[in-house]
Parts: sequence; structure tokens; C-alpha cells
Amino acid sequence: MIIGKNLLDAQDVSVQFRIDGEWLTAIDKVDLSVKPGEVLALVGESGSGKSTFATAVMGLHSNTQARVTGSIVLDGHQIVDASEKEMQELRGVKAGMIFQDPLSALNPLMKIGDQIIEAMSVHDVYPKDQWNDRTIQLLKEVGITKPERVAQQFPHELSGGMRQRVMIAMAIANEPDLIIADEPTTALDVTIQSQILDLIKDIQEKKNAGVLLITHDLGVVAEMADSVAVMYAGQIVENGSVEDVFTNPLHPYTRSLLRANPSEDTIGDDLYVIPGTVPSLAAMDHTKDLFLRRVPWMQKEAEETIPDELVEAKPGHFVRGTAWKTFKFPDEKKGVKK
Amino acid sequence: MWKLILKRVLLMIPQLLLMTLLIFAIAKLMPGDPFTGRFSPQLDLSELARLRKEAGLDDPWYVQYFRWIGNALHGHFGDSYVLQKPVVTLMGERLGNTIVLSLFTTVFLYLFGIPMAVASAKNEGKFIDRFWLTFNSITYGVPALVIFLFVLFLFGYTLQWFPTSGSVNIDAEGFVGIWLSKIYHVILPSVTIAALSTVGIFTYLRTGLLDNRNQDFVRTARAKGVPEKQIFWKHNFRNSMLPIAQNFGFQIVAIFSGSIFVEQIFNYPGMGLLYYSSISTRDYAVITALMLFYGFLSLVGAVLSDIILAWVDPRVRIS
Repeated sequence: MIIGKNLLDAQDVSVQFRIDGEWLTAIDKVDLSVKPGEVLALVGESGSGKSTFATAVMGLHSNTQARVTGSIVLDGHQIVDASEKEMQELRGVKAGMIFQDPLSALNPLMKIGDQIIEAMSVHDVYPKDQWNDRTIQLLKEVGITKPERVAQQFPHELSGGMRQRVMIAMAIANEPDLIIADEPTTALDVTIQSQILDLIKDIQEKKNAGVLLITHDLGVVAEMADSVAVMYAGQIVENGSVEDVFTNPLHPYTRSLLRANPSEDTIGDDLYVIPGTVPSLAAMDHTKDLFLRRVPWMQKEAEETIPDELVEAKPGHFVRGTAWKTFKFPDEKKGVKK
Repeated sequence: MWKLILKRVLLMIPQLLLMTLLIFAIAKLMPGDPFTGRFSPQLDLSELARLRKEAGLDDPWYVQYFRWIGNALHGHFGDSYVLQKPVVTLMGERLGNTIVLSLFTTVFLYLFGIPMAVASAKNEGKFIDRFWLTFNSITYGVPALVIFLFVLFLFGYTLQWFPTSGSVNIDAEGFVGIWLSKIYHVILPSVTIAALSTVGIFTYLRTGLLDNRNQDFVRTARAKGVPEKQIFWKHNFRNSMLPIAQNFGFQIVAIFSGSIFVEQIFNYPGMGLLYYSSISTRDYAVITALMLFYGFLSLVGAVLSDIILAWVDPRVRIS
């Protein structure tokens, strides 16, 4: 189909799930793109639809329980209406995926080496006689010191960090241009987290791969990403370069998230807490700015219907709705930005 | 692996000892003794007391216990009072028959149960699935006796496709002939038992297959681009077979002990029939020997299950 300069080009992507016979919208008209060599962070609370989007990019939604509409172009291939066979050929080759919990994501009965080899054996990227050598080389590449030994081990014999390294090795086995990392460090110890992030960054730079990084850790975003998309209740509410979004956050949600993130300036203060939770799928009315319902002093604005399109507040910096123009925290002085 | 097997086998020794104590206690608790009812009313009571003393029945229980254990270790389990033969000889004659019947039953059981569960899980909610679910509810719910009798009546008496009793034709000749006749005799009972016992394997495997379908490692395989067929067999099926494999040892024991009932109905001269008749005639020596045998079998079954699980699941191998 369309060959663009973007590695991943998602236009107007909606995902609906069938729950109790009703189709409920989990993601609403999402536009996102990742260029080669770019790290795009997708942030938001649990339930905001980040993983649903990543799953849609891999074409992994069940076609009986989920409905994906819009256009997702991965390296020139349209995914939304691709057949299962076409998707099989794209998965692992065009995009590799790293999952959250490396213990449950690895087959407990298969040796590490065999699981990596399987990734190569189902595609024609590398000939059979190279699989063994390449497995060892991949394990070395992800920083495993005794690759020959680890290849013969089972997942339960490795530490959490090692398992995630194995997952990364598996995801890049066929040299995909896009790496999708779905909360790759959430299940790991804090000390291991930064090692794994460094590794992903390192691999991304070496291969000039694009990365779609899904996380709810703003520290990770600042460290890793080039651009960031903030998601709330299945919609992108703000989208721009990391620098723009972090130094000049616009949408009330982004500003609340950043305010709720502990930093040096807030030592000793009570931590800011966003009241409430993400609404359930059935309660999502995507014509409104859904986050405003959680802002006690903006209940009137929460009822206003807003356009679907994001507004370009500054070149390359997009924001949804109009509330960002007037939003202020109660303790905030006029004109002073947090 | 070898260390684990050795450890498990060694662990059997205390279990066996405990079991012999229990069996001995049960045997001692049973009313009467080997001489009860075996002499005419005219017999002098002092003569009976002499016989009892001679048989060592007046000794303290621990002396009797260790004598029994000592004899058992040498392969002496006493004589059957009813059939007037050594127990070992009686068991030997029937053990072969029961093994043949049980092995055939086991093979048929897995041959039926596994494809049934796979067909069901692959067609969840569709007709095939509902059919096998209903089938298993019925075979599980309806008393086996009813179906056994029906099968015996239909295929044995009415259609006369299969023999209704015995383990081998009296006129079978030659090694091949005798074995063909033996197999011919076990087909009806083994197929019937197997078809009626699939519920465990079916339910475990079907549930496992449906659960594992949504496991993270299955999703990982899909994200690697592995075709669905390969995902099913290599990832889903293998992991779902773990409980089935683990249960294998117990399943065999269940089939062996289940033969007590089946052999009675099909009039098949195996251990079960011997057990049944020995209980109804109070043939103590046979009862205790058979209890010991079935108990030992259960222990072996448990060890077998552990070894199989360690063999198929690397996570168990380590610990």
C-alpha cells in the first residue's frame, strides 16, 4: 500500500471490544507515527489503551472479540485488514515485541535457545545453518555473559533481568525495524530497570530502529524517548517532542501527571494525587474531554463537546480540546506555570 | 534426574512399612482367624487351641507382624484356605491377565481422551465441543454397571461379536494364537472401561488447552510470527499435557484397582476377580496379600507420576 517515510503510521485507529454482546470503544481515532531511529513513548494510566494500541499494531487482537478500524501502516504494509497469513509474515520481521512480564511470556517447557531459534525458523530472514550461531550472538548482544550455557537453560533458571534480556534477543532475532516495548521494566527490580532500558536504547541506536515504548513511568520517558504521546481513556490528549511536552505541558492530564511525579522541587511536599480513576469502557464518551471529569473545578467544561482533531498549539506540539487554555491548579498563581 | 528417582524410590521404604503396619492391623481387627469355621463342631477345643499355638497366633502382635513381614520378603504369603493353593501361585496365574487388561484399557483411554479434548477445545462452543461435553457428562454420571451390562448384552449375547467371559479360548494354540485369543477377550472390556473413563483426561486437557490459549507465552509465540498450528501443538498442547502426564501413574493404579469391579462383570479371571471372591469367602491370606499388592501398586503409581512429571517439566527437575 502507501509507502511513507514513517516506519509506523497509524491514522484514525479505533479498537472496539465485544463485551457482553456490546461493542465498546477502547481506543478512539488515534493518530501516531514512528520514524526510523525514533523512540516514541506512549504514556498514560492503566486502562488508558496503551497496550491495546500496541496489540493492534502487531495485529494480535482476536478478530471475533475485537474490531480494529482506521489505518495502521507498518513499513509499507497495511495491517488493519491483513490476513492472518500476511500478519504472520510481518510479525517478528517488521516489528518485534517485548512484553511486560518475561517469566510468563517465555514458554516454561522450552529451552531459551530453542525459543530464540523458533523466532528465526518461522521466517526466511536467516538460513537454517546460521540459527545456532546467531542465537549465541544475539544472547551476547543483549549482554548475557555465558550465552552457550544460557541457551541450554530453561526460563525459570534465569533471573528476571536475564529473562527480559532473552525476550529482547528474541524480539530482535529477525532484525525488525520497529521494536514495540510494552512496559518492559514494570516487572523488574529498580536496579535492573535502568540496565534493561540502557540495553533497549543501545540496540535501538546501533540498529537505527524505531521504538514504540509503552510506559507509565515519566522518568523512563525523559531518559529514553524522542517524542511522547499522552493517552487518556483511549485517546491521545497531547503529542509532541519530549522537550516540548515536559517543559511546557499543555493538556490538564499531562500537567497533572507531571505534577504527580515526585521531583527534586517537591521534596517535603505532599505528593499530588489525581482524584478518581479512568472511566470504564462503557462510560467513555469520546466526544468530550474525559479527563476533565476528574478535575473538581472544571465540571462545566467537562460537559462540553470538543472536536476530534488535536490542535497544533506550537509547531509539532499537539493538544486535544480547549481546556488547556484555561486550566489552572487551585494553588497556582496566575501566569505562573508549574 | 537419577538423583530424584533414587530419592523417590528410597522414600517408598518408610511408606511401605507404614502400609504393612496398617494392613496387619486391619487383618488382626477382622473377626475370626484362619481356623474359624474350618473344623467340625465335634472338634475338641483344646485341639483347636493347640493348632492356634502351633500357627503362632498366640504370640504377641509384634512377633506375628515381623514373622509376616519376614515371610513376605521371602515371597511367602501363606496359602489360600478356600482354593488350597499358595497365594503367590494364585496371584501369578491372574496377574498376567490383569496386566493385559489394564494395559489395553490405558492405551484406549488415552487414545480416546486426548483427541476428544483436542477436538473439543479447537471447536469451543460448537457442536463437536458440546457433543463431547455431553458424552463425558453421561459417561461420568450414569453408573458404569448399567453400561457394562448393556454392552455385554448387545455385543456379547445379541450380536455375539465378542466373548462374554474368560481370558483366552481353551482351544487356542501356539504363541500367536493364544495372544490373539487373549487380545480378543480384552477388547470389549478394555474399550468399554476406557470409553467410560475419559472424563478426567478430557476435562483436564480441554480446560488446559482453553486456558493456555490466552497465556502470555502463547501471545509471545504469536508475536514472533509462529503459525497457529505450530503454536497449538508446540506451545499450547505441550503445556496442557503436563497435568495429564503427571496423572499417568495414578491413572494406571486406578485402572488396576478398577479391574476388581470390571472383572467381576465380564467374568475375566484376573486379580480383581480373585480379590472379590477372596473377600466374599473371607480368605484372609489372599486378602492381605492382595491389599499389600494394591497398596504397593499405589506407591509405585505415585513414584511413576513424580518421575514422569520431572521428565516432562524442567521446573520440577531442579527442585
